Amino acid sequence: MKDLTFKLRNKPRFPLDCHMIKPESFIGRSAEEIMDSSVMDGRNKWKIGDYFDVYGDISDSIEKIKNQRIVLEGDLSMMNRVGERMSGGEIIIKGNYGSRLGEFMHHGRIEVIGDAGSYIGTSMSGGEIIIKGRAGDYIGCARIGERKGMDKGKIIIEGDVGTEVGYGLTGGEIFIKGNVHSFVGCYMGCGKITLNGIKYPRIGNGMKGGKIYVENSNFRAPFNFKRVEIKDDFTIYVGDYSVNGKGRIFIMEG
Amino acid sequence: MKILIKNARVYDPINKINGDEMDILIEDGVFVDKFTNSNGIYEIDCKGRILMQTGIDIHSHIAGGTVNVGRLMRPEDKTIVWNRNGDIRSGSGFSVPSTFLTGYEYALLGYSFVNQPITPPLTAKHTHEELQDIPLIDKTALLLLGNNFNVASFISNGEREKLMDYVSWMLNATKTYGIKAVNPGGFLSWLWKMERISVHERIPKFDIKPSDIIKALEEVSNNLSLPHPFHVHLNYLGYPGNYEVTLESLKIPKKRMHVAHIQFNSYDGNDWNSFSSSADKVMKEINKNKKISIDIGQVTLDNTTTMTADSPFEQYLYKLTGMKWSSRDIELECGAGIVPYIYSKSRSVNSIQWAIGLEIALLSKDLDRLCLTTDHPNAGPFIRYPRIIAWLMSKKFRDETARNIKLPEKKTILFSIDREFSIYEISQITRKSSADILGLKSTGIRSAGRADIAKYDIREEELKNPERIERAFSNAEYTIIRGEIVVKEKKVVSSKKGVTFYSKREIIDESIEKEIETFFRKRYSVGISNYIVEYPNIMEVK
Repeated sequence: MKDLTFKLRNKPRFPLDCHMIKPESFIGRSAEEIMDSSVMDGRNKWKIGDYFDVYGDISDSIEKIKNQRIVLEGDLSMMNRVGERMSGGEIIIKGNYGSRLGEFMHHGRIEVIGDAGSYIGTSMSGGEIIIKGRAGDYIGCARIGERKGMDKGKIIIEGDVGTEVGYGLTGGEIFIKGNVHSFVGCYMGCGKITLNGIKYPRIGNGMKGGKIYVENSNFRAPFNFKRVEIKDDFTIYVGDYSVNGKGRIFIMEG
Repeated sequence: MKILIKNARVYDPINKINGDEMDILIEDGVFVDKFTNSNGIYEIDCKGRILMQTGIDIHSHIAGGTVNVGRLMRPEDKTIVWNRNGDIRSGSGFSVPSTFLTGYEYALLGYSFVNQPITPPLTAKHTHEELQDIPLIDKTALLLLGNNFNVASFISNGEREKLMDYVSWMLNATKTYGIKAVNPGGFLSWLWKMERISVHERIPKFDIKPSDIIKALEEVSNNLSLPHPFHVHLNYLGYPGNYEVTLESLKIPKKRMHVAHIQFNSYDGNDWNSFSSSADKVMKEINKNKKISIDIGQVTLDNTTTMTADSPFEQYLYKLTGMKWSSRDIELECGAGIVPYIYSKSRSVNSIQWAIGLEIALLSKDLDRLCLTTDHPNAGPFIRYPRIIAWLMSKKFRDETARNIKLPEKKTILFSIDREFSIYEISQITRKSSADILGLKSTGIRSAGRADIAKYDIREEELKNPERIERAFSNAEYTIIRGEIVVKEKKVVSSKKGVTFYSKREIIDESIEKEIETFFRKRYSVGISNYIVEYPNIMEVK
């Protein structure tokens, strides 16, 4: 099966609402039909064909969805909501991507070969998101207004990220290989975050449970965490004490 | 515009039409017997489908400060999104929809009139601005006076004439329709750290009781002969075991009183564990007491936003749930609170609340004094009315829902009630009773009456099927307001502005104006000229 490719022709002026770009929404349709379907650019209605050239094979039943791969090409920094509530298959984004990727997704895999914006994998409950470049704020956090964040699944980011990674995390794993800004794992209840470098010392505010691994010996734990023991090259801290939390921060020994 | 509607099965309790097959003629906004000429007639063939007058909602928080704070507070509530489509504007929101969406959704339900029940006088300007923005439907707003400092001091000094003049001045200044009290005296005593107050307890700093406030405002409402009787949200609302306070409050009025969302006031038990229904005791009293009219406030088991001027209860709810909370103090007049709340199907308290609302409706013997509401959005959003209609019309559907939620059999009597509402009775509680209680003088579907009708895509023989009922009533096929088609083939086609009505009353002793002016200069943060509402599209009701 060939990849279903969306090649960007014109860069939109306003953020493009692409919540329909996910494998299951195209089952049994032809490339022409997809190009003819509507998409919202700001408050105006356009056709997908106005922005993209679409070609490739499309699966004809829901059983074959795990083999379906969608490839997006071009400067996609004005696109948002790709892979919302996605339940299988694969999306590969070649180029820089806008915001809101894989919200509420519960299965499948998304890979971004380039940088991405904010709200990656918010409230997701399964699947995998890999970003090869940098990313913005609120990764794996609760959807705006909600209290519970990502539940299951995995997010891997190879570059630097912004603030509030894993806000309200209730499960799953987040790996950040670059530098992280402030407020990692706020109000976290469960799950695991692994970090390399941190620019700002405030992590784990209001943390009730879960684990944060810091693979960087220069980092000093915040004062509302209590040091308990040293185990397997990691110093373990428990907190957040201000909310009687049982979360743990593991900091690598120098 | 001339409209001819053929072969409609009409249900109109105002003219006692129970399912007669009729042809209906509309010309220039009114029903007629004969067209003046036969040019340009728009024809609708109903083929035996149901046609009613448009619905009237007596208690629904659709505009004002609290609703707006609710919108700001709940970005996660925007699960329903409407995109712009020609003249039809965009909008979003489930329990707190935006202004335009509110109008469109009401039109889709086949409603044409909504009463916005709380308007703190200081935010009347904002409320009217939002009401002006709501398209299609007509509106009224009620004036909130139950915790007003001036009202309380007039009552404690025994100055009844002054109180009457003050209320008249307020009605004229804020362009409101009737008087409302929310938890009378409750907010005043909360300011002095009393969590709740019963009707016969003393309010600190004022030598009065909540029962005095109810008595005085009910008397003022009657003396001013306002079209809508005194509208009250009773004390102890929402607490387990509050039915005794309710029964005592129901004995207070001398002439007429409308009790809002009675479901929240019909609770038995000592705490949330022993929480149970006392709808039978409350309804026994209401069936006897002809002075009282009620609306239900049916819980629909949704994720919703509670908003009321009863700040003490909202604080209690915040402590109970730990959700986000906003509390507002409106200087010298009242307070307001907003807390999101999820009526969960797996929680027995919420399931019992659901059952109580239905029990109240089903135990009612006089449907002219009962209105269908959800106290939107406190017990559920108004778009759930069709589901409530299906629950009321089908015992099978009620039992099916009761099986899927956590409803303890011993704590309610819902299972023992076999009554099923007919479509005529449904039109009574959604149309006639609300129109009567609001004093709208609706003439129903009769020659020369205002042409407000809704046609639903359902036949009489399909009324046995609850799913079909819910689907049909959620989306009217045609809604015609003032003789103009606003919903056509299940789609909204118009964004026309509605009208807001208010009651104007004469001030007898004009010295009150000077007194109010001094009061404003001394106590208020705004000047009197910035307080008075003057907008177009607000009409005096005759």
